[in-house]
Amino acid sequence: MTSFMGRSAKHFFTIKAAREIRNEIEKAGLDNLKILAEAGTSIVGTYLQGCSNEQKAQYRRDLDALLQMGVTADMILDEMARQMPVLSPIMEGRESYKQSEIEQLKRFLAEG
Amino acid sequence: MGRDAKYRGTFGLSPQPVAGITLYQDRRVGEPSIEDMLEELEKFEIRDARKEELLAKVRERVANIGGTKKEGKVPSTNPKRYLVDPETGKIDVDEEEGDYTYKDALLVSASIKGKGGQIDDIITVLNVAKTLTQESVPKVTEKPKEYYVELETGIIVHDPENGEYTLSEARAVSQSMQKGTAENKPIRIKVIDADGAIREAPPGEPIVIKKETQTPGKTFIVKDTPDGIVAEEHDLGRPIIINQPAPTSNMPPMLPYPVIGADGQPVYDNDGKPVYANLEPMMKYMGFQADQRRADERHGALMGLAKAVRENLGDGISALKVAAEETRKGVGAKPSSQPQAYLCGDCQTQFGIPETEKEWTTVTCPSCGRVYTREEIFG
Repeated sequence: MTSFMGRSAKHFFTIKAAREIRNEIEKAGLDNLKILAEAGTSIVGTYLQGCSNEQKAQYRRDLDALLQMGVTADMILDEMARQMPVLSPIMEGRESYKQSEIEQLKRFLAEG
Repeated sequence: MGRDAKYRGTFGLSPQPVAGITLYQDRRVGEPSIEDMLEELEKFEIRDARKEELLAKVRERVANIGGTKKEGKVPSTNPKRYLVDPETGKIDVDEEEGDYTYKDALLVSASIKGKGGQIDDIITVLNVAKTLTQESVPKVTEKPKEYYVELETGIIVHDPENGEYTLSEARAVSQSMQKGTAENKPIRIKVIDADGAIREAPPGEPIVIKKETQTPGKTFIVKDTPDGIVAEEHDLGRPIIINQPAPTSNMPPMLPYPVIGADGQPVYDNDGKPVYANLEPMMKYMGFQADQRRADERHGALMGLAKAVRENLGDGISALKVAAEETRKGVGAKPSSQPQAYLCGDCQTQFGIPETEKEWTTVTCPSCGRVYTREEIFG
């Protein structure tokens, strides 16, 4: 049973991580992401593949810190869907697409 | 309160007046006691004048004591048979012309020796005087003269038949002789000279110790001359100039480049020898310029490479955009296979290979009509 402060911090960091991802999505363009999702191409995988090693290491550190605080990728995606309602039909358009993206993130963390 | 007239006790002398009766012995009222004078003498800060004054008083007191002690005594032999040398304090015995008794002679001798500023001797004199002022002076008994003193060595010899002095006299004479000889005897200093010989240092002259300077050996300078290696003797005191060779470089020290005149012919000097120009400075300058140019080019290349790397750094957003663009283009689009073109060796015309299901054997150039076999086309 976590304390009120712990729960508040977890919630705050979830919102913060989703906002960061939303900024990246807005830079890439929602239409582009929609095309990739419809074609079955992993957005997370494509994005991480294009990152430099330094960026990958930074993302890995941040995601590890979030996981240690109890913030999972599922929680972040839910928060993203809440912040960007247009994402929901994209993520839910294909079966198990959301789950495959979460697996992609887990593999990425396991690589470090 | 009266005194008891029947008192039969012994009288003692007191340095202080008792019941108004002055019983001082050899001392007037107001004079310091000998103990006081001793204390005063023991102080090192005492002045010489005060010393002399005290000594004079002591001598006077001693003389008075001697006079009082002599009274009433008629010795069988002359008790004043001692002489004291006024300069050295040496005690001699003279039966007829002696001036002092033995103790007086001792006192005078000690006082004379004490004039040299030795406070210990003065204190000795005063101690002797102090003992004389007391009543416990031993009775002088004439002792047999069984001793004599060797004049050269001062050794006391016991000879009952030919003895001249009593034992105490002989001791005094021996001591005075030894002291006198010790004072008069010059100090002999022996010096070991440079040759190792022991010799006596001349009295009154300083001993000069000469430090023997070693003559350094000769110094030779070896020079590598065109005539060979030459060793030259070097004079001491002159500086040795070392000709340091020029820093080694790949280029010879001088490039003998003949000077060509305006007429295209070599230039000769007055002796008819060809004139050579030294191009080394120019070569060095040109090498320096080339190094600088290479360094600038390398720097520019590195900067360009860094810029290219920075521009091509991985970016997730651009990757997403590129992937989306490729996906958009790739939907339903199939790349068409373009026929391979070949160049004719004669007319330089490009021509293609016919796409037929049947395997071809020859191809003809559409321009010049040259026929190429399959082996010629695929090598």
